[in-house]
Order: sequence, then structure tokens, then C-alpha cells
Amino acid sequence: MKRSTYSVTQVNGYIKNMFAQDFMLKNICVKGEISNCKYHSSGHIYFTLKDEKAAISGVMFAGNRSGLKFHLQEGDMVVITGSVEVYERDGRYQLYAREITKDGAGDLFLRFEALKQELLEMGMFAPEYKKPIPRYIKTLGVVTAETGAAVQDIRNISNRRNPYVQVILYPAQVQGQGAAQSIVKGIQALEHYGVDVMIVGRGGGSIEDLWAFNEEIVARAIFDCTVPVISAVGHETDFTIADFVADLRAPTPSAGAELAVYDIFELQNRIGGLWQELHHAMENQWNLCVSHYQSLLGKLQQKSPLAQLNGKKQYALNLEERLGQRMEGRIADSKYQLGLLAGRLEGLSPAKKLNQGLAFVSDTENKRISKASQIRPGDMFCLRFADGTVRAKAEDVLITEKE
Amino acid sequence: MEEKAEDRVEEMKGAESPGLEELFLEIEDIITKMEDREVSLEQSFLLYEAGMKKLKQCNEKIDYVEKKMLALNSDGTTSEFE
Repeated sequence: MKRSTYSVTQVNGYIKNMFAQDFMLKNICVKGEISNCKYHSSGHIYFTLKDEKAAISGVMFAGNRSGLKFHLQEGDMVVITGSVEVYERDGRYQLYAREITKDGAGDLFLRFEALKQELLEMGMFAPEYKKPIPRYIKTLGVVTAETGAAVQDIRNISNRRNPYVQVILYPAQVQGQGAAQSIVKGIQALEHYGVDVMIVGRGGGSIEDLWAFNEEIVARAIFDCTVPVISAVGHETDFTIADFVADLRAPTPSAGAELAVYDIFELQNRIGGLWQELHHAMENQWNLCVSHYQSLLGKLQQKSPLAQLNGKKQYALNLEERLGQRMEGRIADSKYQLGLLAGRLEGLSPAKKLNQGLAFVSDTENKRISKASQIRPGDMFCLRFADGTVRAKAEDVLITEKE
Repeated sequence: MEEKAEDRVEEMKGAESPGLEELFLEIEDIITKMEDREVSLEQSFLLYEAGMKKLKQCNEKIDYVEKKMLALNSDGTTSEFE
């Protein structure tokens, strides 16, 4: 049986085509460790991807560099997405990378959860260990990077709320190799310096950027710190181990400064308010005493001899008045009676009787004679008429005998 | 402007007892006592005097000197942070 003979080119072309038609090889994710990594001047990156048992050579062309977000290094554990294709010239296949990510993003999350669980079980997040944040501080320590927004945010807010609080920065390295150690040193240095409160934190970033705040040594330094610590890492939604172990968690560095630095104007208002309250209380007590005094004075004056004398004077006057009124009444009454009697008397008046033609009989000494028996014969007597008097002499006296 | 850490610590110790918060509580306590109608005028005057003294202490506790942000150097000294 005669077999066909093929050229090398034909064979390699055939294999290349087989690979190219394979659905899985066209789009594959491969996990492994980077070795022999070379950044070529053309912009291509050549490397070998390996695990314990095997290796595959790989390349990332300059045109795909947007798929790599970090500097690829020897020993990096990565996941590469791309295709496996044949390089016809050498008869070799290799991995053509479109995207390279660090294997461990998922890993980091697991480490975070494991450490969180471990520290939780040790009681490092327990509320009874949380130190209260003093309300009125003199000095604020800050452990963060000297560059970046966090330190400026803290400075601005602290200045706005209270320019009299001394802020002391420990310029720490907050990401990359040695960041955790630098943060720990900062916490200890500020504790030794003697601040009232400290903020430990940084601005937002990726989980890798924030990672130092998830390290156990940082957690322990915060836990052991005798000065109350406010954690202020990243954005609202970022939670780190430091947040759980800190005495207070601030969602951002700005919020941390708001929590740490009291508002001086608020304090002044409070002092002013207390001052007023104190004054009012004193004024009330004083007024109370004055009015009490006045009411007692009034009562006492009522009971004084002078007041009593005045009262009696008044009473006497009153009596006098009443007496006068009664007296006047009585007089008026009597006048009336007098009038009546005068009327009656007039009816009985001897003068009137004389006018009517009767005469008044008297002796020579003007003594009234009302009975005939008073006269003896020869006696002189007077007869008074209305128009004059007659002197008469009795000739005879005839006494009428009573029956 | 440099300052030794030890000096700061000493200063802090001197400034201890009692804090503003404590003083406020004491003053509020005094005011409550003064609002009692049974308190005599003499006592009121004493309470008032004590309250004013504490308020003065409050004001003395606030140091009205503006501060520049400092950076802590590795040798424990500080320097102004720009």
C-alpha cells in the first residue's frame, strides 16, 4: 500500500487547521504560574505558564495589552483567557493571551472571610472592647498616605469644624509591599505620641489596594491600641477587617473627620445655653424670694400698731358718721311732730278764742281765774278781749251747785 | 516648629480631670437643683457661684489657638505638614 507523502508545511498547516476548528481551544481559560516572563521591546510579552506537571509557552501581543491590568512577574499565579494555536514555523503550539488576571481575587475573598471569622471567634470585634470616642479632643492622629485625597479631606473638615484641634499625620504607606507594617508603625507611633483619637484609613481603591487594612497585624495593632481608633477605609460600601476591629467605623475619611472632630461653634452654643439657664435659675430664685418678702411685708404691715390705729380711726369716723345721720333723722322727725302739734295747738289757742269773742279772766296780778268760786263779791278782776282789757268789779257771785 | 513627644505627654497629663462633658453634666445638675423651689436663696447663690466657676473652667479648657497640621517624623519629632 502506497502511502501519500506530505511536506512539513502541509503537516503543520493541517494541524493548525485542526486546532483552529476546535471550539474549546478557540476560547479557553488556563490557570497556572508565570515563569520566563519577558517584556519585548515590540510590546509583546512572552512567558511560560506552568503547573507542577506541565508547561505551555504563551504570548500576549501588544494589541491585547489592555487585557493586563498589572505588571506580570515571575511566580504570579494567573488565569489566562485566550486561544491555543499552532505556530507553524516551529511546529509548536502556544497560548495566545487576550486577558490575564491574577488568580486569587476569589482567593482574597476567602482569606478575608477566614480572617474575619477567626478574629470574630477570638472576640476582637466584641462591643465590650470598643473604646468610646471622646467627644471633645485636643489632638487627632491620622494614619494615612501623605499624598492623596484622604489626608486633604481630613484636614479640610477638621479645619472647618474646629481649627483649634491639632491634627498629627503619620505618613504611612497604605498599599503595596510593606503597607501593613507601615500602618502598624503609624498606629504605634501616634499612640506613643499621645493623641486623643486617631483615624486609620485611606481613600477608595480596588480590593487589592485596600488589602493592607485586611491584614491581621493591622487588626491586632488597632485592637491593642490604647487610643480610640476610627477606621476610615475607602468608600461607603468597602468593609475591611480594620472596620470590624476599630472602635468606630467611618464610611469614608471625610466622615471619619466629622466623627472625630467636634464642632467648636456647637460647643460655644452649648456653653452659652448653660450660662443662660444658670442665670435664669438664679433670677427665678431671686424673684421668688423678693415676692415672698413682699407678701410677708404686706402681712406684717397689716398687723402693725399704726395700721390697727388707722383701722380704729376709720371705725370711729364711720361711727361718727352713722351717729350724725341718726341724729339728723331724729331731728327731722321731731320737727315734723312739732309741726303737727303746733297745728293742733293753734286750734286750742286762747288768742283765737278771744278773736271769736271769748274773754280771758284774770285777777289784777294777771293770774288766771277759771272758776267763779275764785272770785268774791267786791273783788277787782280783768277781762281781756282781743281788742283790749276791761277792769271789772264783782257785784255778786253765784255758784252753780254740782249735781 | 518642633516639639518633643515627652513634653506633649506631660502636657496631656496636666490637662486631665475633669473633662468638658463631665463639667457640662455637673452644671446641668446645678441648674436642676436651682430650679427646686425649696432651695434657699443662700444655697442658690452658692450653687450659682459654683455653676459660673465651672462654666469658666469650660471656657478655659478650650484653647483658642489655631493649629497647623503636623507630620510625625520617624524620630518622634514633628514638622508642619504642607
